[in-house]
Amino acid sequence: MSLSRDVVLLITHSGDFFTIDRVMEALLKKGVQPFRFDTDQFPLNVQLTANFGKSKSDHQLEYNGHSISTEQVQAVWLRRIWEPDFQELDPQYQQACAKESKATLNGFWDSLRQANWVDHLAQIESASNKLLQLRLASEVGFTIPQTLITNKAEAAREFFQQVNGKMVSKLLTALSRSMESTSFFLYTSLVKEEDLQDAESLRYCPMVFQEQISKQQELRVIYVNGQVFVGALNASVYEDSTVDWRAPGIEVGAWQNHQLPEELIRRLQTFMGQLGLLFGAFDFILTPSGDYVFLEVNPGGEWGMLERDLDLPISQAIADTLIP
Amino acid sequence: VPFFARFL
Repeated sequence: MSLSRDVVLLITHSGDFFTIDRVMEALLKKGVQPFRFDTDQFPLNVQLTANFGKSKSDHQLEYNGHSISTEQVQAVWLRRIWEPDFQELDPQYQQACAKESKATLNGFWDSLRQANWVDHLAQIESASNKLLQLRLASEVGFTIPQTLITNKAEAAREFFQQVNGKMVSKLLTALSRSMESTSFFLYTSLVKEEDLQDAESLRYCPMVFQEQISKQQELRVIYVNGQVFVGALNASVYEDSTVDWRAPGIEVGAWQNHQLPEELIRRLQTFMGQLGLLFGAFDFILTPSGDYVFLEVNPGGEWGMLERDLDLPISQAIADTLIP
Repeated sequence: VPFFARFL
């Protein structure tokens, strides 16, 4: 069945829930038709057809009994892109099929260049560079942690002394290595002096080291097209068990409302303008002395807990940004 | 193994 109304394409995956549903509801209230595209279902259960002629090109996407054409799509919410599940496919062909599928999708994204994107894939990929984020954050006036990235053991040991032995480590990229029913994760981790006895192994892979910042609260700040929605956690609830509230199985306590200073909001707007992003999930630390310390921004970060627990109208703000 | 392996 072809959808006739104005369409907003929602790019996500088949395991997504809550946030995607809330945005779909908000879009329906605005009188447009949301079309959910679970990217992990392509190419097995989603059909994509593109015709290129002399004067024009035409793309058709079919999924779950519905079809859309490029011309119908007014706006695109790029939430997640997942790889296809090729378990039934001979392993020697899986990488080639995934690569070709990705290239086909890239052509489809290009066919939607006239639509209003939140956000463009190129901007998201560029903004995901955490070192670029730190440079830009410092330039717009945010306080950032003292940071070292190195594959040189001696530099890591010197930095450990420089920050008086209060040092955490992290990677620049998300680590997800599935192995049957388990995955390996690397959260922000505390580094002890004995860890650095093995620092020569940095020669295989550089790592990010930062001074450990004292916490009063940790903030998740959701930025949507100039608006900010803030949730705060009381760090004393969990700081004895983890330095990363995002780790699973950690009891983090209740999310609380928090009002950011106007000056900080202006810096957020400048920062996001520089990155060319309309949406971002920021992590900040509020120190015991009242300073806000920038940690990072995730262009695809989660916000469901803030809408659920604090009733913050984030899905409505996203819908209003997609269809002004 | 790389240094980060100890924090996995």
